[in-house]
Parts: sequence; C-alpha cells; structure tokens
Amino acid sequence: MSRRGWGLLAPSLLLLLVGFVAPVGMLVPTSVHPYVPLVGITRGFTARHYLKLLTDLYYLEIIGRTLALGLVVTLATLLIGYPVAFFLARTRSRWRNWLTILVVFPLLLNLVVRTFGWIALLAQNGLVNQVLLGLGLVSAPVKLIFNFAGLLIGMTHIFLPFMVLILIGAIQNVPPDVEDAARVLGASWGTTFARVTLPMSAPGILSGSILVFVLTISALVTPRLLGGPTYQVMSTLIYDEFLQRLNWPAGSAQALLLTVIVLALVLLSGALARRAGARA
Amino acid sequence: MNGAAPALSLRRLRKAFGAVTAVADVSLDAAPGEFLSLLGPSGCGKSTVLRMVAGLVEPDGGQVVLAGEDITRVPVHRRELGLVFQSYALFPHMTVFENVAFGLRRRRVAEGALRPRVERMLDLVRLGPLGARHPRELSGGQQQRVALARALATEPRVLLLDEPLSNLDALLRDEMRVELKRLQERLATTMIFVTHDQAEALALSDRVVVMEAGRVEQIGPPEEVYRRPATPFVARFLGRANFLPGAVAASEATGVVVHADGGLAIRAGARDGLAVGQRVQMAIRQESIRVLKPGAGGDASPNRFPATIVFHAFAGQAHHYVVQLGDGRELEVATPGAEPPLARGLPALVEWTPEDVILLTERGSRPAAEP
Repeated sequence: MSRRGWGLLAPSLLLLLVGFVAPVGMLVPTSVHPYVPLVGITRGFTARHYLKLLTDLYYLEIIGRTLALGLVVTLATLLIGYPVAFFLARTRSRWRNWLTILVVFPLLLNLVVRTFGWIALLAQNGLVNQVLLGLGLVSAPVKLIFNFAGLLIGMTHIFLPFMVLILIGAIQNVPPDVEDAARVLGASWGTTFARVTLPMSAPGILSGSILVFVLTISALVTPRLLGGPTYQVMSTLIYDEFLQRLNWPAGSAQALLLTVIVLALVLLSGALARRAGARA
Repeated sequence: MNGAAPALSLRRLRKAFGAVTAVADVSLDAAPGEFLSLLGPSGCGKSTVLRMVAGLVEPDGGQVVLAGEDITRVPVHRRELGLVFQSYALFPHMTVFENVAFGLRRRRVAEGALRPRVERMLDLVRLGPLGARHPRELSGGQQQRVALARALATEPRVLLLDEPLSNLDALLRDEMRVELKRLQERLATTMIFVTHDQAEALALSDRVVVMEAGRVEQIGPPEEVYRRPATPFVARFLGRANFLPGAVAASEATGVVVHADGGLAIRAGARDGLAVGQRVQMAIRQESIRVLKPGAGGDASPNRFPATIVFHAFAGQAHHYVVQLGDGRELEVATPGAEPPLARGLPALVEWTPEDVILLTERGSRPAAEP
C-alpha cells in the first residue's frame, strides 16, 4: 500500500491508540499491584487478583454466567432475527422500508427507557405475570427479573436489531438466481435453504454473532437494571470493583480478562471465517 | 416435427406483473431434440416464458405441457428440467465437482454411480481436471461450462438456457456458441434458448421464435424468419434493412410493382392477396443491394437505379455504404469486403432483384406467397 493509503488510516489508528490501546495498557500494571482496604493501591507485585478470578467459585460463576448469557442471547437473536431478515431481504412489498425502520426503531429509543420498559413488563406484578396469572397458566408469579431469564429477554430485544441488519445484508448477497438454480436441480425449498442460502449467508451469521456476543458480554446498563444489585455479570462486577469497592487492581484484572476473552473470540472467528472462506 | 409428440408445448401462456403484461398469449411446440430460440428485445417476455416453463414464475393462464404431461402446477424441483442462467448462478461454496453433482445428489444417486457421471459431464464440457476448484477460481467461460455441465448432469427432459452467452466477451461467445451447438447435436437434448442476439439465434437454432411485447411475432427456421419476415418488427429486428413505404401499382402473376413514396417504381416477387392502391412497406436487406459503377453491363435487374455514394466505410468482412437515390432517399448497403470499394462522392448504380424485396402489409399479416 502507498504511503498515501496509510495516511488515510492515521486518524482512526490514532483514535484506537488513545482510546483503546493506551487505557488497556495502563490496566496491566494496575492489575498486578496489591490492594489494601482502607489504604488503597500499594507498591509491589502480586498475581492474586488473577488467581482469585480464576479459582474463586464466586468469580468463576460470574464469568460462566456472562459467557452463557452471551451465547444464549446470540443464539436467540439469530433464531428470531434470521426469519425476519430473510423476509426483509427478499420481500418486494412496498412496506419493506417501513418494516426495516420498525426493526431499527428500538435503537432510536434511549437504552435506559427501553430497559425500564422491560422492568415494568417482567416485574413480580408486571404485565407478563398478570397475563399469565389471568389466563391461569401459572398459579404464582414467575420470577422473570433479577435472574438469567430477565437478562436474556431484555438483551435479546436490545441486540436483535444489530443481528437483523447484518443478516439482511448477508442474505441479500445470496443471488436469487443461485437459489432458483438449486430448485430447478431438484432441491425442495428446505434443501435449498439448508444447502445454499444458509451456507452462503454464513459470513453474515458469523459477524452478526460476534457483534451480538461482544455487545452482550460487555453491556452494563441493561444487566445492572434487569439484574439488580446482586445478580452480577462481568461488566457490573468490574463497575462495582472500580466505583463501589475502589479496588482498581482487581477491577483491572477483571477488565483485562474480559478484553482477552473478546479478542480471543474475534481472532478465533476470524480464523473460522478464513477456513470457511477457503472452503467456499 | 410432425411425427413425434412435442417435447414441450406451451398453450396460451399469459403472465402479468401488476399492470404490466409480460406475456400476452404464447403458444408454441418444441420437437424432441430441437434447438428452439426465443428471440426478442429486452422486456419482450422471453425470459418470463422460460421461467414459467421452469416453474419459477407462475402463469396467470395457459398450460405448460412436457412430453404430453401437463406440468403447469408441478413444483419447480419436480419438473426435471435443466436451466442455465446468464449469471451462471453456480454455488460459490461448493467445488466444481459438487456443483455438477448437486442435481444427482438430490435424486439420491449412489456415490459409486455419481462420481463417473459427474466426471463424464466435466469431460464433456472439457473441464475434466478442474473438479476440485471453486467457481471463483475459473474464468467466465469455464464457469458457464460448469453451469452447462451441472444442468445436463441430471439428463433433463428439456434444457432451458437464459441468455447463457451474454456475459461472455465476443471471442469466447463465438467459441461457446459452437461448443453449445455441438453438445446439443451430440446429446440430442431439446433446448429452449433465450437470447436478444439475432446472430446467435440464427446460428444456433433449428427454429426461431421472434417475440415482441409478450407476443409471438413469427416462428420459423432461421432462413425463413430472416428472408421472409412476417411483420415489420421481425424485418427490423433480424438483420439490417432499408424500409420504403409505398402503394401497390400492379399485382400480377409475374410480379408486383410498388410505387414507393417519392416516385420510384420497384418490382417485387409475385404475391397473392394484394390490391392495387394498397399501402405496403418494402424491406430491402443491406446485403441484397449491389453497388455498380455507372455504365456497368450485365443483366440489368428491373430494380436498377442511379445513385450517389455519400458514405463508405470498410469493416473487414464488408463494405458499408450509404447511397442517395435520385429522389433524395438514402439506402444503407453492405457489400462483400473482398470487392474493390467505390469512392465516396462518385455516381453509381444500385440494384436488387425483385425476390429480395420483402413486402410487408399490416402488422401481423404474413406473406401469402413465397417468392
């Protein structure tokens, strides 16, 4: 690439350096200092923040819960989003643009407002429980908030538009001629979908999944509001460590671990995509 | 065509997209082993006809009959047809081998029988060693050959081709044209070939179906639609012709005399059903006209007129002239490139035989007699 080409990248590289590499780099030294309650960060070196994170069951449960949440939310947005995206990518209806706006619309609302909406719906005496009780489907209110179900419902809703938008692009990239070719060759609609449409939209499925997974495990506001003060995920844990307990070294170690997980995942999926690309 | 039942019959097919009529009323038969072209400008409905045969577009009315069986309501994947797309439409995530094997796998052909069949198809389109490649590693011509092999591998009852050569560059197109024709003769597969390229249709087809605005204008062997176009549209669309409006002055057993607007009396071959005074269009092909030096002897054609050469261009195979007649009318002429050219600005003679005058009456009426 010419020097001129690199020049075009300079502003974003600078932003990346100042906004990401430097802060994360500064976490590294902080994370290996001992923290003494009521005194603060002290000099010296310790690996106990990392050891605790990787051995203490309390932390392991939070890490596991965060990853499980990321996985399940990703799967849920994929399962709900793919049919919607397929419809929007293929319909010739004149309502198409309006329907797309409808998909994007939640993004235009403030995140806190949307999350409070879910609290109103999912609470002990919220709308969902009232309907369930009214229909006689349950005898006592179902716990839908301050637990995994609450986070799953709220975050699936919040991140669905991202998944749908990415999938629309991916499905539109599958030429209808190619699907028609499969059908003329004797493939039923289902076989055509499984053998042609789905594999050909795989790159979009992968990037949508990475995006939703990363957004889910790093989200703070929604897990805080829907999980309450006790049902923790990694982001709320880090937040509390830094701002409630003022234990910056432990918080730094947790933040770095989250960053490593995210980076590893992005690299892994990149390698997966390259392998799929080599096959395709 | 008379003996065997048609391989494919279309009966009064109709299709409208909203307010736009794509196919108005199309009926035609293709004999087994026939190479039939649907020829027309873009938007004439030829691709829609093909897609209705394939089952990808549902007709508003009419029937698609395949070897005597009405398949109008049979779903696409049970029609056992082959379709080759202009865009090739290969599966980019599969190897060439898997692309060709796709249709056979859908028919649950056992692995042992499948491999030799795919390899035979790849050999047939001269792609034998490329089975392990992916489509994007192939050139356009190779990709279209894969598409052809994929469509033929299942031994389709009829092979449909939707402008399969239009995405190829000129040289490759000529090469593929020959290859396609040879393949068709070798396999004796009935082929329905959609194209907007008249040269392609004429060169490949047993018969050509000329379409315009959702209707069939004429069906016939290439020479017939070229030499005896049924309508002004067909005359205009196939080859280049000069059109001269006029009125019939005399119609006898020996020939027809037409007074062209502007004064020339032009003789045409004998034809029934013409009334004196009737308005007609005369179409004279560029290559039917000869350009001679003034005072040239020989058997003078009854249609010999003095003219001036106002334009000349050499195009390799042909000389292109524009000549001006005494009444100011200009004619386009193409003469064989091997002849010595005549200089621009010089007086000359132009002539053509009465048999080369194509008489066209109202739209849709056919020439009643053959010259």
